[in-house]
Amino acid sequence: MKNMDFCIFGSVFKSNAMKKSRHSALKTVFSRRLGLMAFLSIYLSFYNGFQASASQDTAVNDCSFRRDDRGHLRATYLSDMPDKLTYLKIDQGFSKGLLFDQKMSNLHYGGPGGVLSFALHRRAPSHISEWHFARGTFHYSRPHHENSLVYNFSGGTRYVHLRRLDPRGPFRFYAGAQVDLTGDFRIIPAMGNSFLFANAVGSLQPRMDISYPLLLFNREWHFDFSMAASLIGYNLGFPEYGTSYRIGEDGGSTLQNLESFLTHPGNTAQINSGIFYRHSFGNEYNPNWFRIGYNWDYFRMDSNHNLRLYNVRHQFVLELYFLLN
Amino acid sequence: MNNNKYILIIGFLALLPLLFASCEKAFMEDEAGADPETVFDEVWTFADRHYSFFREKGVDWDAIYDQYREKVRPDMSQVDLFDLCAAMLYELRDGHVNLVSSFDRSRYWDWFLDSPENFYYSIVQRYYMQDRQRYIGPLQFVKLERDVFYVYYGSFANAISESNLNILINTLNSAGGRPGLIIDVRNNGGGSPDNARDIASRFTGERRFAGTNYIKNGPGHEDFRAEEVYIRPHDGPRFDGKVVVLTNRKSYSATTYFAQYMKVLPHVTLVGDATGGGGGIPAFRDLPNGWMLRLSSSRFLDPDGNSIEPGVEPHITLHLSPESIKQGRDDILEEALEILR
Repeated sequence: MKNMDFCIFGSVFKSNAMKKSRHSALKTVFSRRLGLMAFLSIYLSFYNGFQASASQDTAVNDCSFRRDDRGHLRATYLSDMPDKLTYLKIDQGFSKGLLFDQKMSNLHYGGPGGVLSFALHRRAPSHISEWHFARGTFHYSRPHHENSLVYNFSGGTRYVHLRRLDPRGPFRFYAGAQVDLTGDFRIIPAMGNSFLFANAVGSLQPRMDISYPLLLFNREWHFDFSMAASLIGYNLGFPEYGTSYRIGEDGGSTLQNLESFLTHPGNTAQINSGIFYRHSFGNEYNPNWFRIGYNWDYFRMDSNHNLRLYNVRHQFVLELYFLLN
Repeated sequence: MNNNKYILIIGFLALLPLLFASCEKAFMEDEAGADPETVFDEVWTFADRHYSFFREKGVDWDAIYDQYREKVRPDMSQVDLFDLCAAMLYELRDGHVNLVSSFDRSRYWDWFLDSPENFYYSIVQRYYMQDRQRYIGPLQFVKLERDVFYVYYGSFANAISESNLNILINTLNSAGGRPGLIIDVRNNGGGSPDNARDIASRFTGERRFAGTNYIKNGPGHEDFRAEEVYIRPHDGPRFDGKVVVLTNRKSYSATTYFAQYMKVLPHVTLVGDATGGGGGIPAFRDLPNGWMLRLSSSRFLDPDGNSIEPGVEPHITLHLSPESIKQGRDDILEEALEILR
């Protein structure tokens, strides 16, 4: 916060110094915003108790104008941010799932659900990293005959690290990988019992992201596309036989030895893809931003005895990013 | 970038979700058909791969397939197909085998239909508990006589908590004298064997071998993994006085497990009729035409190697006499009182 308000002072100073600049648009922005920025900076200085320090000069001197994705200089609040920003990211949304687990039946189960995730998102000019420390989905799925239902829970954690490949053009290409650990639980309450089918997969997934600025409704948005596919991983799950942990009237619980095996493209296909539009809250002075978008997650795994598990999810999500530091 | 390009990009992005949504089933195998042959074969195959008592019951499942499969017709009605599958499953003689449709539920109830009832809740309620009982979670608890306490547990599906058991055991231990406990699980149709083991762990001071659980681990009829089951003493309050467990033929499934767990404890006496069995924990299959199938997929042998599927025999076999029933007297409960006096 200290850096922010002093940077605003710095912007004011620089706006005066930039009168001879050839960037007329920039000057226009500053003339309109000057009063507001002065007010904000005074307010924030009061807020911080005028705790000026030796860093003040540095902060003022370090403030610079950002060249935006179109190559224009923009005196935005974000331009004065430090290089590395950390956000609390909260994802929420609704989804539609399609499940096919041959250990359970030869039927497709579909139904609505929800998604909720909490993450720390860190971005810098050269890279993006993200740690989803709590990520969960729930689906309430039925087969076409609707006589039974499946409660499908999944939860896990994911770490993403992406390096920017092309730091100068309007397109931003990122490449990297994500490490994903997800447990998936499918519970069928039926005939006085609850039958549980479950597995957990940890996988390494190469990932690619593309970001592109876009004008929509007279506002600048960013279009983001991401795709990741599992390269190698490890599955731990209930096997076909004697597996289900059963709770209920006539049953009980028993747990067969878990089956485990390495997952690779020969027995597992796991694709996470998404398209998003992002924008800051309110105006460009607001450091917090959001993304709205769509995720398509596809998971297919062959287990012992050639039994397959498919889990496909369409998720429409709103992602909120709140600046932490 | 001109407007046309914007429109193209936005249009493409808007169509992308629809594209994914429409083609996802192309990446997925088709569902099984719901024709009679497919449904019958799935019922038979699931039983063939998962059922656990073929050898114990001397069932030739392949011969049964030949016997029933030829009766399947492509144009047969759902009711006829259900009756045919139910008749085939009846050959397994297992109360844990059920086929459920929207119009019927196949079952095997001979394990209790040919046996005396041996329990009338109204007699216990009117002449013994007399509405003096406390409800400790799912347990009905009452002091019947000096030093004799009685607990009725109607279903192992009703979970019993640590707190419930602590209250029960602390009450017994603080009663003074030499208290004895009657645990009545007659007509208890089962639930979770975990509850059974939790309760049994309160009545032993040392680890006891209760039997071996054999869990299916492959498609062969004798593909099992053995797992020894022990009753371990609970860390919390325990009761080391005399205990009498009352059973009848309707003590089924998890109650049969409970009877077995208690039977291996030295100061426990089982009185009544043999339990109904149900020694196999069920597996489940959703069938393509909307029916559901459940069948036993494990078996449990006591320390002597006897299966508990036919039921656990009590130490003292006793039945209610018709005269006693008319007089409002529970002979099995009276025997328990006599043991504990």
